[in-house]
Amino acid sequence: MKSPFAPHLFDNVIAQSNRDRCCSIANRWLTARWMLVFFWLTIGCAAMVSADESNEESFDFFEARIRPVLIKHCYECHAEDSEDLGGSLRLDVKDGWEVGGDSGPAIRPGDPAASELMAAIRYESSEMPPSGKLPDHVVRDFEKWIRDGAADPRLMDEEEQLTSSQPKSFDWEQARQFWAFQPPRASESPVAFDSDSAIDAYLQRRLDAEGLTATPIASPSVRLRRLAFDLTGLPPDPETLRQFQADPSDAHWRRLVDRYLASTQFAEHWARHWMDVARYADSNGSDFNATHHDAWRYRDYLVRSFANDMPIDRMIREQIAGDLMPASSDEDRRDKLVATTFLMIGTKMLSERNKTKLRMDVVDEQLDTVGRAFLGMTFGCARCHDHKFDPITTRDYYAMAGIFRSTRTLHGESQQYVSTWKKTPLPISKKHKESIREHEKSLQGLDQEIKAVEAELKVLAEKTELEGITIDDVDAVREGHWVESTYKSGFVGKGYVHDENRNKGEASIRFAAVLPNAGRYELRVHYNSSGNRASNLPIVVQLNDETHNLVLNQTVPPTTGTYSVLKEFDCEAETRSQVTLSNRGTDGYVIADAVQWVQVDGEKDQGESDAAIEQSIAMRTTLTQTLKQLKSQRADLVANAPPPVPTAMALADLPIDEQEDCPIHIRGEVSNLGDIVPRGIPQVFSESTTAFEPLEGSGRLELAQWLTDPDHPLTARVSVNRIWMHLMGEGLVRTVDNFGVRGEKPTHPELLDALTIDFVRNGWRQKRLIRNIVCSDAYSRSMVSDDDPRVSLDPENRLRGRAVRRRIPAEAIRDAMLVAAGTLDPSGRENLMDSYATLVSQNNANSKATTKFGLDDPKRTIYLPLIRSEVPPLLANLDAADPDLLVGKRPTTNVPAQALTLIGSPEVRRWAMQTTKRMMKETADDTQRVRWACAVLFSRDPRPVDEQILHAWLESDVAKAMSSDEERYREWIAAMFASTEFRFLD
Amino acid sequence: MKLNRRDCLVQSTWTTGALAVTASAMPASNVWANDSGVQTPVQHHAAKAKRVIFLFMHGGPSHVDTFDYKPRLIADNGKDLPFELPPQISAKPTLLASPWKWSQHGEAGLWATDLLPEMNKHLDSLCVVRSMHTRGQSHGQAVGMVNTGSDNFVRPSVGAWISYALGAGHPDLPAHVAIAPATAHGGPRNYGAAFLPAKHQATVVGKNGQIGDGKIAYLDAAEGYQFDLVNQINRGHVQSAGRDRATDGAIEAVDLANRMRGTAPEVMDLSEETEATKKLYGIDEKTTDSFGRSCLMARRLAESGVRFITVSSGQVWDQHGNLKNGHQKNAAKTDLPIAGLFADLKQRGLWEDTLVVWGGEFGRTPVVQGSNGRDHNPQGFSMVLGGGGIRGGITYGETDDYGYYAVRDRVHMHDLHATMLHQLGIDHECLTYPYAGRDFRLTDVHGRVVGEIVES
Repeated sequence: MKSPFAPHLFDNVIAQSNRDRCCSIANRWLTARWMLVFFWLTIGCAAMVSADESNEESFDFFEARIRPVLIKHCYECHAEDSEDLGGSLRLDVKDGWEVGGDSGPAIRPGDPAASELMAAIRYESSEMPPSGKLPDHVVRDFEKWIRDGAADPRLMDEEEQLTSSQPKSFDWEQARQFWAFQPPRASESPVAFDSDSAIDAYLQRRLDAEGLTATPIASPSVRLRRLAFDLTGLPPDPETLRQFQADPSDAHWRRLVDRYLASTQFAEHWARHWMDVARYADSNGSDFNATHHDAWRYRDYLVRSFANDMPIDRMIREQIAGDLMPASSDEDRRDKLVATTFLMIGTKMLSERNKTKLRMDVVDEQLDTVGRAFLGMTFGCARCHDHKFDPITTRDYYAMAGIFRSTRTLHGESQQYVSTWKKTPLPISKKHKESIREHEKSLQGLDQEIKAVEAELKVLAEKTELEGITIDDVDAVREGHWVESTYKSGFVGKGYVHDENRNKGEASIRFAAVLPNAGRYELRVHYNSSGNRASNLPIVVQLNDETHNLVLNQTVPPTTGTYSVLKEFDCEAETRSQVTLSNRGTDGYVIADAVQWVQVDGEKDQGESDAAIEQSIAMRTTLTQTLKQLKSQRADLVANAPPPVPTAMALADLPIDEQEDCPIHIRGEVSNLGDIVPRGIPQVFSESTTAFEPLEGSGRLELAQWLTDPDHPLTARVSVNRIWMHLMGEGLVRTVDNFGVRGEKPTHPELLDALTIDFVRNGWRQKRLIRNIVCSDAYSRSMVSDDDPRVSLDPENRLRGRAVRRRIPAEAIRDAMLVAAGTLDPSGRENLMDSYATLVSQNNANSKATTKFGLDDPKRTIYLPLIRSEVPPLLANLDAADPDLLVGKRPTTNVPAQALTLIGSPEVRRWAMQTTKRMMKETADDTQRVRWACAVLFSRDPRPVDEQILHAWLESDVAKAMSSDEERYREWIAAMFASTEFRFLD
Repeated sequence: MKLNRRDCLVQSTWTTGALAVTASAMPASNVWANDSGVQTPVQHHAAKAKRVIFLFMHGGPSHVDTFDYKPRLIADNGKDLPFELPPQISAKPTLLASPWKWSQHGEAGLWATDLLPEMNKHLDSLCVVRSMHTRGQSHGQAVGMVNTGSDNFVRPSVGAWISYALGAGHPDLPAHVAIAPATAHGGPRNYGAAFLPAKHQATVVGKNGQIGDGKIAYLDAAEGYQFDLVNQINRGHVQSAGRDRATDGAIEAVDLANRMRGTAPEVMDLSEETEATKKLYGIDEKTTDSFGRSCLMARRLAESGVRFITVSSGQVWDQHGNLKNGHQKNAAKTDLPIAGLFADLKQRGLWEDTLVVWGGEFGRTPVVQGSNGRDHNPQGFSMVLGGGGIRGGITYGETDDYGYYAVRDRVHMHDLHATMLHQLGIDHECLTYPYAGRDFRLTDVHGRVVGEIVES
């Protein structure tokens, strides 16, 4: 696509393009005008015809049956004096329904079926009137009235002109004059940004103009603490502090800046800033808190990108369309796929049953995020109506919505009605691929062998066990409480029953059978043994009128396979047999599986039978051993499997035939569709075409390229402004996520533009910009008390004549406590969500989320799981970004809960104790302790008041009553953790 | 009464402006601003109620087994529903009559089953809205709707909006408390502040329908000397490095936490109550103890100045099967404590200015799911309101002959919210907060005050 900003670069093109534009606008305007005339003519004719044909009768019908209903049920919201004209539709005048509202003309005379009004009062579309459906006979009246031509005598005053709300038009020329839509302008006297003083020159100009004096440069300790926390999210180590205090030169400062910028901690801290805007989370949150198993890869992508100082424009492109961009290597491909996680990790109502709506909700979330994150524009409003403040129309919205709707975000269901996404396999090395294939092959081979042996065993079991007459537990008559089970393998039929070792004397089970032949039978009882079984199971054998009492010990294994032969009996032909197992007086679990009668006398060749049995037992033993061996081989194989194919939470374009432009959803309703809008960019950004042409794929690539066009008026400005804010406390535009009409204007527009131009010219490199800012005097100025007159002259510090105290982010507060405790583990963590299944917590009242790696984990906070709905109170109360929302600028709140968690939470108490122990080891007296604590916790030298506070505390009755020094000093350290100085940068 | 649009606009400029100032320019710690320590409540018109207690029956109790009497459903038991089921429903079209007995109650003769016999005794002072409808066929969306007015986006909860508008009635207590809220279906989102200032999120006691130890987290963990020590260090800091709004706020928050530590445990200590009162709520009876404690806590908080209190039953009312036993069990746990709360509010003179709302995120289908269950029904269901200027002994609106769709005088969840705010003296169209480039409202662009159910 040709850059829509090109005209601003080349003057000779401007003339040309302006001429083109004028022509094309004129043409379009004429066309539109002509169509309008045509429209009015048609309507006019129709009206005339119906007026001609209408007679008194149809007006009477209107007056008698229609007008009263309209007055009673519709005028409240659909008349000239309605407080809020519903759907922009008026029903108190004929032109009202003719022109129609948001959904177009409300009535098509003669055609009730095509009339929106009919659908509404039938409750088929918008359900009007909302207070309750009109009675059927009234609905029929309306149908008749419309079919008969909708005669309506309520004409409008001539001077009044009703226009449809649909094609609301902006004055684009004027809209484009707004500062944020103008390209950054180079200043008349550009200052080279390679010098440290460039920023100060711009700031000084305004200070001079307002007659304000800037505060002096702050003390080395204040400056260094600021720098260390701002660049790395960690305090400076005391040794660095000592050295800088000894030599606070500019050269030393620059060396420190470079050292910090080169550190991994820098990349981690700044990745976290980006994650705030990317609403990063390791779970979906919302109704169905699904685990984001692969989100951490995106987090690591950010850390890597910031460490390598990847150009911000490239990061933006990759995060919107990395999957569609060419890759130079497998590693590059992996990064580009992982980058698109950005669009995937918003919170979604996965269980929404209306999937059409869900799809548009997801699109809305993505569009809103892209708009605010990169453009500082709030597109969300335009989902239902033209933006009230910014020149963004619903048309613009759906032009962009089509891009994301042609993209696959969700895919399939994890359970009925609950949507999920597809894990995208990442490219792996050839060797890795081969080892996986090899592994799968071996596994398959083993599984086949195992299956074969198991089949053989089954046949064998059936052959040996099912001779004679077998009565399974399911065919037996049970009395009392029995529980079915398959817990221990090696049973007859589908399972066995046991008495749960309860209700002794109440449960019995009777196995009945008729023994057909006269002769000798052996009685086999099938069971499985274990130490908790009954050793004294009474068995009553009833053969016709004879009764035999036997006892079985189920704690010992059956004598043969799964059964024991209890006894042999001589029987007559047709003997009625009953074998009853009961749990009366038993001392353990009673198991009943099956009873088997096998004839063992002359009828069969005893010797052969015995031999056969012996043989099969031998065979079974062999097979069982083989099976055991195979299974252990399999276990080994699985344990030594090559790592699985890594997956990413990446998105992809839909198949070509499903990519399509999106219709306008009137009032945002998925069931109320209007014009189809070609995919493209908002009209305010282009004076020529807004549609992507030609378009290959969803349009994300085109969108990404447009966003990062060097001449785009917003993207670079928004990025520069965010970076400025992280270092200076407030953005040059203070509403960092809103550069629109309702946002604030820049306090120093020339500076913002100069920084932006320098940023883009030097390849969108973040580190260069950060270096320039922190090397300015403005960054290093001291703060003053609010009582100082300079504060009342510029209470909000808009002129940047001083520093303003800032709160350290929640993560840095925790990390700093770990540093003090000496327990911080600086390494990262992969696969941190592996211990979670589909959901991080179940949707029921008894669910307990099993949070792994909680606050007491020793790693930096960025490497802890960030589970939506379960952000640890310590972090949430210190204003960690709410992962449900895009947070460009974190609020600084002071709710009582914050004080309570800082003072009372067990983690903080523990870190305070660890810090105390470390301090006690490294110091010998209170003077040293105060020095140590001030250096480690506040990064400064002690003041007299510090030692006074400690002494007063140690002298207090409460402290004296404590049993150990450790406890006493712990309270002091804990109070320092909870203090303002610990969590604020002066 | 209804404001005309012009009044509303004039007031809105003033009130939202004033609120915006409270929110941004004043130190955030000034939670309960002004000299008396209590925020001056926003009043667009005279308030009937000073506070709300929302008895949230999570899971969705069945209206056709409680308050929505449908003779046709009884007559046609076992027959098929004569119209189509809504989409995405797992129930069969077979009608299932209530297994409970219907009768009329009180002077007004409102119909109810014998499932909630204790609540029935108060029907003369309650209003049953029988034509509720909402968005969301699944719990998540519908729970979001009832608690935040949004089924799909992250929005401030009803309690957060009310806290934002009214502030707390006590300088040492929060304005918004959630008792035993669910961790599922959005969890904290349902009592959260979203983009409103963080102080408006609920202070939480207990979870998932269980009040637990009935205490605020970490409140008991700290001792007075710890606050003193922190204060000394903070004073040392500002004396040496200068004071500013941020540290003023942080220091004040420590004070406030300390005061809350002094006030809240006493307010939340149920042991002060008489045996008679405990008995009224079913405390110390096995079945009713936990929910009884929740209800009694709600009353103590209400009379101490808390503005919005949600008491959650836990997600127990979701009887897709086992309707008879499940609902009976839930009724046994909650009915007596709720009636006890009503009686107690009345005897203490709190009923008149306390708006009580009882209901779930949706109702249940008149058709059967499985053999003895009912599926979700956001298309039509009942909620019960009382106190706080609500007319008693009336029903409002109707569902169809079988209790499936709300058909007459329909009341959307947005309308309920508008009405709740109205009773508190707040115009739902004027209570706004600027975020992401526009002004947000609890009721989005919807909502009608149901004037028919409120006392004039």
